[in-house]
Amino acid sequence: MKFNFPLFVVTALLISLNAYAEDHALKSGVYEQLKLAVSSSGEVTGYYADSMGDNASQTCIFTLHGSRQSVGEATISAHSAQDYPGKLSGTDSGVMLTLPQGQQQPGCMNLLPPDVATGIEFTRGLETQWQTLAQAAAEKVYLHKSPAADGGKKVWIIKNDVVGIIAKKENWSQVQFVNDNGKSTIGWVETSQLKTLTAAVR
Amino acid sequence: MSSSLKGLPQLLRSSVGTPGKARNEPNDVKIVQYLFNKLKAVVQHDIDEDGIVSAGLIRTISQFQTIHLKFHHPDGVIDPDGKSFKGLIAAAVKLPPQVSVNPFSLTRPLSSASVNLLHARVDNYLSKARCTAASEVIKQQAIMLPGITGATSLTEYDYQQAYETLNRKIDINIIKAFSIVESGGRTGFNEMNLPKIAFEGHWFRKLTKMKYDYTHPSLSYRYKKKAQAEWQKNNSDQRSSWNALKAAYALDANAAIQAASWGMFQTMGFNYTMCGYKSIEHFLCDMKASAGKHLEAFLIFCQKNVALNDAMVNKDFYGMAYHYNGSDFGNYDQQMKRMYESLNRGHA
Repeated sequence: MKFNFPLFVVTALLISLNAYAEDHALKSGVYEQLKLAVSSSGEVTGYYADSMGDNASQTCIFTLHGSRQSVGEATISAHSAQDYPGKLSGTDSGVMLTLPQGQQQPGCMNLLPPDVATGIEFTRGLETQWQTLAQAAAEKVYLHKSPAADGGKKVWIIKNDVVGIIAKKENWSQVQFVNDNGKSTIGWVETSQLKTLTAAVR
Repeated sequence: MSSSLKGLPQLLRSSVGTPGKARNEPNDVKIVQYLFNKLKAVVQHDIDEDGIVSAGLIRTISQFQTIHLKFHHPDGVIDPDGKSFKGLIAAAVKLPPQVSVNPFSLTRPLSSASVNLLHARVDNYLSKARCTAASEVIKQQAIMLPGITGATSLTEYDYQQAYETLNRKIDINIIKAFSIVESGGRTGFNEMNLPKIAFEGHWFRKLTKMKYDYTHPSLSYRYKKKAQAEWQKNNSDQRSSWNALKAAYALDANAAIQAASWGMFQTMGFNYTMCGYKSIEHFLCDMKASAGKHLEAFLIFCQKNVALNDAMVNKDFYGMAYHYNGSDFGNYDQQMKRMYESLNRGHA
């Protein structure tokens, strides 16, 4: 049996599939407790941090590294004390994080629900142009207005603050820092004052 | 009221009111007419129960929507499961049950048998709605009832029980040292004789799929930072935390319990299955019961974490502090070690 679909039906189907893929694409940004960078080549870097109440004796911190398998999905590895495999998927309003052994990570058993094994959605609060994430390596790292030592200082971040890297120029990186209140600052820092993202392991 | 209509049979089969917007099946129209006649004190006039939509009935519906339901744009339509129908039922169940006598059904005996049957059907529905609403109120109030059945601080018996629960694999003084340090000296119960809790609105939001973000922003909010303004307001003291829980419980009982941390060890409700409970109700019951139940749930939960369990078996204080608390555990490892040594010497 042969079916002939009118061209306009096929076109409409392709357009809607494309729109769906675009709506569910993995994008860099701040997703509640999760900061996420998706590079143009599809590398995925993430940093998850949560703590209990106001007197935080429990903290759940881990990094994510992986690569995009399709527009809307990436296989990742969560790292704290050891690596745990998982995946990230784009949703209507954010990302779905799936870590089958997510609660096994240090500090996470009472901060991540068991549902993380099958997927928890985090809502996007801010979309960014981050290519990757890094942390401040020095005690105090100034954000300059331009990629030069005399480029005028704006503000500073402190050791282990997580920033998104937007671009690089010679020895300088253009970074974006988003504080706890969602306030965003973009500036240039010397790349040597940044370090690769790591979960805080004692 | 909207939730209390759940589980009741459908009373209206189709919509009633403005022609063109409603189907106006005669029986449905009669039901609405009868309901408004029951609310005579509200609508201030009698309505002919003839099953025919009149300008008067549409005006009555619109006025009810405007005055009593505070609609900005009344449409003069009662949908079978819409806000107007629920509002009408909510108003009707507040009236004391009575045998209704409708002058029109007496003056027009043509269909009195069917009218009486219809009245009986509506009255039966209202009676069930009244019971459901009452059960709902009892259920809402029950969350605030204390349920203490044992000691509110840990006893030697509780530790012995925990030792047995963990199949004697973990030194009892390790259990004690770990529990004492991780509970931070908390008793687990507050001045209302209820377990100490903290309500976490960002988890309530996720558990209810953001359904209450707009209607209840103080209970269902996006995570921005730890202990953000909404959290501080909800958890300024135990009474506030319980009021937040009660309000959330009225919206979604299961999600509310899961979105709070409970008792001596502030175990998150969403971990109830990890604590060995088959239902959230059982978890709630035990959290209200005693410190011993808090300890039992906490230790069963801890056993599910392989690295933490190994650390407890091997008396690895660093591992115990690190795997339960994460990297910012301060000097918990040293505190546990000192407590353990002190207990072994027969002190503490």
